[in-house]
Amino acid sequence: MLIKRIVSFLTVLIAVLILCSCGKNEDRGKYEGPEGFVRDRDYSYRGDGFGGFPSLESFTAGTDDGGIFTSDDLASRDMTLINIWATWCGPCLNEMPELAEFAELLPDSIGFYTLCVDGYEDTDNMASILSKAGYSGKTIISGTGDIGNLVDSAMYVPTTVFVDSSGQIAGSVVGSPRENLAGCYLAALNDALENTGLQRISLPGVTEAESNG
Amino acid sequence: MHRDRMKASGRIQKIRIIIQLCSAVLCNGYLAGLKRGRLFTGKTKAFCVPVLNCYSCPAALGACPIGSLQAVLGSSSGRFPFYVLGTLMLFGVLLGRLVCGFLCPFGLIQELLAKIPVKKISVPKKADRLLRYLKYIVLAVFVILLPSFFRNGLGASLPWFCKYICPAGTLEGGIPLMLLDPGLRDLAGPLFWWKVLLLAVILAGAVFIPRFFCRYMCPLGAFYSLFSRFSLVRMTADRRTCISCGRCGEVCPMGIDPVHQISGAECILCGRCKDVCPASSISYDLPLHAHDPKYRSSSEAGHGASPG
Amino acid sequence: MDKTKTAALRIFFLILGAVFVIIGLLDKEYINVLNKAVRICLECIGIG
Repeated sequence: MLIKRIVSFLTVLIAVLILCSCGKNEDRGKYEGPEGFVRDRDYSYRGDGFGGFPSLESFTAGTDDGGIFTSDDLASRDMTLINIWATWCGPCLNEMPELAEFAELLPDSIGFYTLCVDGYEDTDNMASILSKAGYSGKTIISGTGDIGNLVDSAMYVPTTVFVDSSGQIAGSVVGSPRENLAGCYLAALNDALENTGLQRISLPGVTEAESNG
Repeated sequence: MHRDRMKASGRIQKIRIIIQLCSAVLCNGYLAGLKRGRLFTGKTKAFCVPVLNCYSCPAALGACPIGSLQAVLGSSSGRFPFYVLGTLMLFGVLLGRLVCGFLCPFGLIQELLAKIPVKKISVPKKADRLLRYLKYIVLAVFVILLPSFFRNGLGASLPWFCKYICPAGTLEGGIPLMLLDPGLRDLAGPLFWWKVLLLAVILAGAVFIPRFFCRYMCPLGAFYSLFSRFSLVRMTADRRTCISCGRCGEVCPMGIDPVHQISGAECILCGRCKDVCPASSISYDLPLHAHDPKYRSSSEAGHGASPG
Repeated sequence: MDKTKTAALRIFFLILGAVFVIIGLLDKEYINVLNKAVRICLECIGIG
């Protein structure tokens, strides 16, 4: 009798859950956590990451369009953002659409790449995620040398590193901001630019977030 | 005569604590990780350990089976978790809940907490029976269903058990990382404090109700319990020699009656009952002994026979 | 549970488990496990 009740309760629960999950397909792919679990800080953790990141001086890397990524690509820009993510990482996928929009706003002097840590194994899946998120830029999927070291030292995903023209890491964002994503990344970018002795920039329609030091 | 046998008490327990400690060290042996504050990235992390052991612990050398299960179920490529499930099945059929009794570090922690000399709470039978089902709900809903089906438009899913419930993750992963990485502390929000609270409740619970988490909440224990009836390593209680003294039930950490429930879904095969039985009625039913007439399965010992 | 049923179930799950593991190895599922195990998704450990 008790078992019957539990089974029927579970069946109803499962049915409700399945119905709920079917209705959750929002365009922007934003995952709304349960009430009360939204972080009230604008910023994720900024700084050297966990134990610092290696500079990108000597490396080879391949991108998803069959091209290569080299230190020449870094040298031709004031600053390059590399967003490190994984296909299994919920928060990485959640920030992707807004990050893609942010990347579109960047001037030519700022480069933007994503780096998918399991892109080589799961290429189709990765490509599908990127296109659904509306990302039109390049994604690094393989590499050796300092790129390999960078991937190894990125213990958390998502992690975004800011690399200057000589390959030094000028800043990073670990984790992903819940609110004002563009503003947070802009602030981190500007801090990185300042660290390298360059001018801060502004982007149309983006309110720069407060620096959390 | 039978009193002499009581002096042999603790034999299994002495072996068991050593095995438990070895297991804890083997699962979490990467001490350099604790020093450097980094995870171990070696190839052994492709293997699932049989126990609940968070792979986000800096010292962890292997992968958590429950975490891995959620990860594969929740991955955007939507694969069926053959490798993880197959590994779990092999552990289940070979060892069953012996894993809980001899290998699980979180189980060991609860047992050590239960050693604190306070009066244990005896859970009323009806509540206890109901609560034992909770772990199956945790397994079905938080480990399997939610990670599999609750996704957003990009196919992103979550390890629901890891994120909202797992106390081993808080104790072995969340808290050490918070301590080792000052920058991470900024990120601690309501979710982190919820998990710390839940961990505190579970650990406090284990002081008053031995193996509190194992009895009522552990999804891995729930999974292995499905194999209890036929796992290779089992225990039997010979009801014909049982004198109904009740000592086995008094020492059982899972709060069951060994005479009737030994080697069942709630039994972790720890052997405490065997150690205290004055009539030597309890024994391990190892595959090698299957044909030894000294060891009889409980079904042969007479289901209908009333004890004593 | 009688001996034959016990033995049958044991053999069944031993074989099924082994077959599943082999399928998973061929499908490189262990790389998924490895990737997830060496990196931390902050949300997954209940921090962010």
